[in-house]
Amino acid sequence: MSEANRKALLEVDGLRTYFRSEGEIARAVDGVSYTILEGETLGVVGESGCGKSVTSLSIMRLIPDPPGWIEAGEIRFRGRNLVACSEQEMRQIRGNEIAMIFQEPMTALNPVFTVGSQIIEAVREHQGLDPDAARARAIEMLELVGIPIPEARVDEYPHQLSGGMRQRVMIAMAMSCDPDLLIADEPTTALDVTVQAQILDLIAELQERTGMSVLLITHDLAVVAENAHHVAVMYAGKVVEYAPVEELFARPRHPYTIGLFRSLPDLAKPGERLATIPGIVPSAFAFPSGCRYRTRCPIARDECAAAEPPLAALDQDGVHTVACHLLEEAAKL
Amino acid sequence: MTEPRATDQAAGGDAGGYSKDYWDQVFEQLGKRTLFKVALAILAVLYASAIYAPLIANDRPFVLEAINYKEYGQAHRTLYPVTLGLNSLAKKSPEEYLEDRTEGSTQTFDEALSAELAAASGRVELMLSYLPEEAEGRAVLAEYMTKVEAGIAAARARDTETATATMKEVKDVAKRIRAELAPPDLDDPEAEGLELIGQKSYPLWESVSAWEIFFMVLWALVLLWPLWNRAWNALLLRGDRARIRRHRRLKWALVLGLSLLAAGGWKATIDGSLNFAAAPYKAALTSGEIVATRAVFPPVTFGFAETSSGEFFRPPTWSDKAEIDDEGYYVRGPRVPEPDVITGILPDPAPVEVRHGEPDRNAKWRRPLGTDSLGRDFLVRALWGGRISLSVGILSAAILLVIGTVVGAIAGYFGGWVDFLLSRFIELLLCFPVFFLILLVVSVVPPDFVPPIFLIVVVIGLIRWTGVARLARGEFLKLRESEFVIASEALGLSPARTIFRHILPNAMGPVLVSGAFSVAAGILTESGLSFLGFGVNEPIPSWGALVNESRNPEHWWVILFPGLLIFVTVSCYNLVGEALRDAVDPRLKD
Amino acid sequence: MLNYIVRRCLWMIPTLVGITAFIFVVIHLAPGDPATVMVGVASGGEMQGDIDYEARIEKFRAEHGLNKPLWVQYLDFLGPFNLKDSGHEWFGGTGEDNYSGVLALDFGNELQRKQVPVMEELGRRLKVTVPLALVSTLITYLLAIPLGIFSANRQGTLLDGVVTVKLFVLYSIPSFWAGLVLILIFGKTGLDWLPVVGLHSPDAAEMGRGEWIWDLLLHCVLPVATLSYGGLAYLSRQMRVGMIDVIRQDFIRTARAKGLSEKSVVFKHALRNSLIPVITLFASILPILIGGSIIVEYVFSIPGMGGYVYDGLLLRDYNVIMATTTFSAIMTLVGILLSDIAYALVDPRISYD
Repeated sequence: MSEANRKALLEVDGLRTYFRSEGEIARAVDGVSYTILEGETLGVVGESGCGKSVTSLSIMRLIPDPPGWIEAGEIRFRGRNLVACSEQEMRQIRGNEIAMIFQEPMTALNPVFTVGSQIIEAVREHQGLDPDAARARAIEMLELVGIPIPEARVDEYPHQLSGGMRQRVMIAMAMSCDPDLLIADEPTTALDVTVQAQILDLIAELQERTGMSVLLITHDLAVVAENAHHVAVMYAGKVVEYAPVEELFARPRHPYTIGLFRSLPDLAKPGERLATIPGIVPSAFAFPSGCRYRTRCPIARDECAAAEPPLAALDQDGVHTVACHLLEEAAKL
Repeated sequence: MTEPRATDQAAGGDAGGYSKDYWDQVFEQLGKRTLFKVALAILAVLYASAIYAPLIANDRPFVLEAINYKEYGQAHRTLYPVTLGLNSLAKKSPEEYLEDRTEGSTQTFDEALSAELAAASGRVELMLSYLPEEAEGRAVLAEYMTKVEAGIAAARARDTETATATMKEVKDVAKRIRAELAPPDLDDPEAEGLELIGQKSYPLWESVSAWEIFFMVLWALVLLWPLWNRAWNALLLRGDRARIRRHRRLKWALVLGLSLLAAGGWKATIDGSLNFAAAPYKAALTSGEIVATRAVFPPVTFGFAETSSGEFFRPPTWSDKAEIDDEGYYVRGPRVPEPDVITGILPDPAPVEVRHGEPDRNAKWRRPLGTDSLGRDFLVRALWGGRISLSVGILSAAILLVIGTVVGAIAGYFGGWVDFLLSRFIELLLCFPVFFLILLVVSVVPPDFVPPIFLIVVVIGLIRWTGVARLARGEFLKLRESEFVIASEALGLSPARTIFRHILPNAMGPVLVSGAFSVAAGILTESGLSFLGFGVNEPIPSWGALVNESRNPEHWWVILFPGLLIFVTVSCYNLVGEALRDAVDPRLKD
Repeated sequence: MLNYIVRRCLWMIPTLVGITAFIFVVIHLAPGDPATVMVGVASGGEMQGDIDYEARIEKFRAEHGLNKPLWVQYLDFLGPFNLKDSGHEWFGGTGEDNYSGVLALDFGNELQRKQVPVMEELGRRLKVTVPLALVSTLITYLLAIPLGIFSANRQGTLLDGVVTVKLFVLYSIPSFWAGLVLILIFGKTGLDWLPVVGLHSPDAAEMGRGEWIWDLLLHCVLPVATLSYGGLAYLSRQMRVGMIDVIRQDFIRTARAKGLSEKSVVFKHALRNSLIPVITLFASILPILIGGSIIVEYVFSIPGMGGYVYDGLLLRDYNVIMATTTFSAIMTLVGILLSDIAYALVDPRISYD
């Protein structure tokens, strides 16, 4: 399939998700837009606290309310606005059409139920299988994600499994209803390095087999480079750059993206000290005016404080969009 | 949570910029909680009323300027008989005396003379003290004394002749005294008598002990803390944050020091002691045996042990069922006396005795909380009872905090087999119903052996420490792995020093929280024990013991009011503990 | 599991010996003994030189073995051999009554009422206290768990605030006062709805079966309420905190992400996890109930074990004190064991092998 033929599966448009804490409002996600095409992987990168996880939870409509709520924006899944869906409708979508796996396999599984029962539960909820069929499906799924002796493992409790195995169980659970979109929120962060690659390969393999789309959230650029088709770079509740993965890695245009690349070890010359981005991420309670990156940006000028730069296309086809006032200067970085 | 605390601790040392330390943050958190402040205010008032109870409710006057006619009359009446005794003694020779003296007595003649002299001079001095400066009687009394002394001197010199002669004169003077210095007849207001002057005394203050003064001064300083603290910070320290923080300890030392100083001064000068028997002042003032020119009583003039014969289990006087007529019969309600079925005779009347300074018999505020089985005022007993109940809570909590912290610290710091043994021991103690155990110990030790109230304090402290120990152990286990403790060990500091100087302040927060809850639990336990009758000795009141006065539902005030006080106090402590917990460790917040 | 239970039961033996030995020493070392109580001298120490008194006291002590060394008395208490003068011939007794003590299930007769075996009387009284305690525990749990869930799910709302404060207030009420105030409100002086004395009406003997049960139930309402309100407050608070804690966990988010209904998230995934700490509290509720029964039985004049403890303490009856002590210790230990077993049943992470 060529790029142009692919239809959009999920479109996030101007999403704003806010939290209230002790009377103040934190704008955790503040106008995020991106698109996930059918069958492909969108990588979302950014430092912790930039709002990438909150965006994914907003898609699932799992923002705890209180203290959080979706203030504005649309999330269109196959053209249907999820923001406007009732809780009942969302339940049909969750786990069934959009599934999610989390960062911490240690805590994401309920410790007092067997892993099998936790998979069976999802299958029965959405596919109306009888207990025996659901159990067979659970064993099948465990086998699919590469768990040895699935017939035995199905009756084990999470604490009897290793971290990598638990993440495989999570994936099995997510895949059990053949979702169209898999949201993987930092799926490998808590795992050993050797296990990380296995899990990512597993996700890629499953994607190939089922044709689902994947929203891969990570702070690791290397993971994105290997697994994603498109990349959205997020900073302080906003998308600052969005491009196909080769394009982004070849020509990063936003000063923040460039900064991120500079801080990667393999791009720095041997013997040279790693570059870091000075300063800290601004608090979601009080973002700076204008461009939010200006407080840490090496090329910031007065005009950056005046107005927020829109996410604008670099050329006609619009595949590479950047939110920066000073593209010329940034290109020289 | 521990790390920022640790770094704050370290940062506290440099006097540079003002950064909030741990306790600053805790206080800031606490300041935000209305419920906490209300609870603290109620507790402050409760403690104040308990500490100042002697000054609020007492049957002794602060100041009494009075003529004790009875006392004067007694001295006057007995002076003549004493003189006669002197006379007969002076006539005797020492040998005669020894023959006549009562069997078993070892008094020598000279000793007998001294005793008689003291008896006479005591009476004369007492009479003199009531006579105005310009009174003629003073001269007569002086003459009497001179002659008595002369007579005794003669008798001592074995000059029986002179002695007899002098004593004869003395007898005449005594006769004059009997005639001229008689006190006025109290029953006959018309009678003109001798004019006497009043004596000034301070019966209430004389009953206040140094300990009570210590707490009175301490509490006054604590309650006024916001006032003088602000002045101190503004005037003396000019708002310098670092110096204010350094002065914190100094201020506490000052408060304690001033209180101790006051108590020491009191001990050296007045050193009163509390006599449980009801003081006689009010009855004497009422009967007219004492006539006061000035008597300043506390706001409530009932003593906590003062009984009232006509008012057994009298309901609160603001209820209309409490009205009593002249003969002591209830006017309305279930207590209206009914004639005996057979004889048709009403029970004997027991009129209410209204003593000096008391509200009228049926005044609404005479017995706001009713009375108990002996007619003792319940409000006053509740006020004084707070002293026991409130201090039992604090003291038992203090003991269990110390034991718990030390044991927990040792177990948590050293770990290994020490920890294993101590933890097993704690588990063993936890296996037993605590109230049962305390009750058992308190009840088997007889009250005249150890005052039960001390026993309760000690036993609660000795049994209830396990919770604190577990908590402290947990904190120590956690903290001993933290960087600043490892650092201090790397510097070669001894374990004890590390524990007390470095870990303890950090573990103090959670321990303090459980302290507040322990006070609440201690008060509850004491009240339960006292209710069962294993608490204080009569007539000392405590809230639990007050409820035990009657289980008859008709005496609802006996049940209601003291229980309400216990409940309010315990609630306040629980609220304070709750707020402290949230402030000390935000993680534990619901 | 069975292995574990057996092991735990065996462990109870040294614990029991420790507790009873401790209590034994405490009550025997305190000045005064049942003999002096019997002759009306409270504290032993200062007695008139009355020959008759001393002779009676000596006779009493000899009869009950109180003149033997303390360790012999304790061994006599443990049994199964009677070590008193009337005891087993092996130990120099007359052989009238060979066996006694805990191991012979014989705590002797009451010291002040000689015809009454303590074991029989205790059995009669346990039949009152144990059902009351169990019913109270059951009611506590049945009310506390839904209350805790209810207020956790409405966390931060006014309703939750009211429930939390109310429960908090309950926790601060002294139990004897709660009982007395309930009597004031529901007894003759107040609404006159419920009986407040004992467990049966005076004319209970003539009642039919149904009427008798109804009478008993009415009599139980206030004592059970007094016994359970404290635990209710404590437990529902713990339940609420536990629930709030669990609701925040990642696996709850996972359950929601699976598309489960809120009901199934709360009552299946959250409930089972938040029950764990509440179940372990069973071990600490039981001793509180046993202690509380002393006060509650005193307030409501119920002839149960609590009242027996009270009488035993007043009369310094060693046999009664030791028997009640042993039984409450056993009940506490069994409570701890039960809560540990329940813990293992709800939490698969705990293994006891």
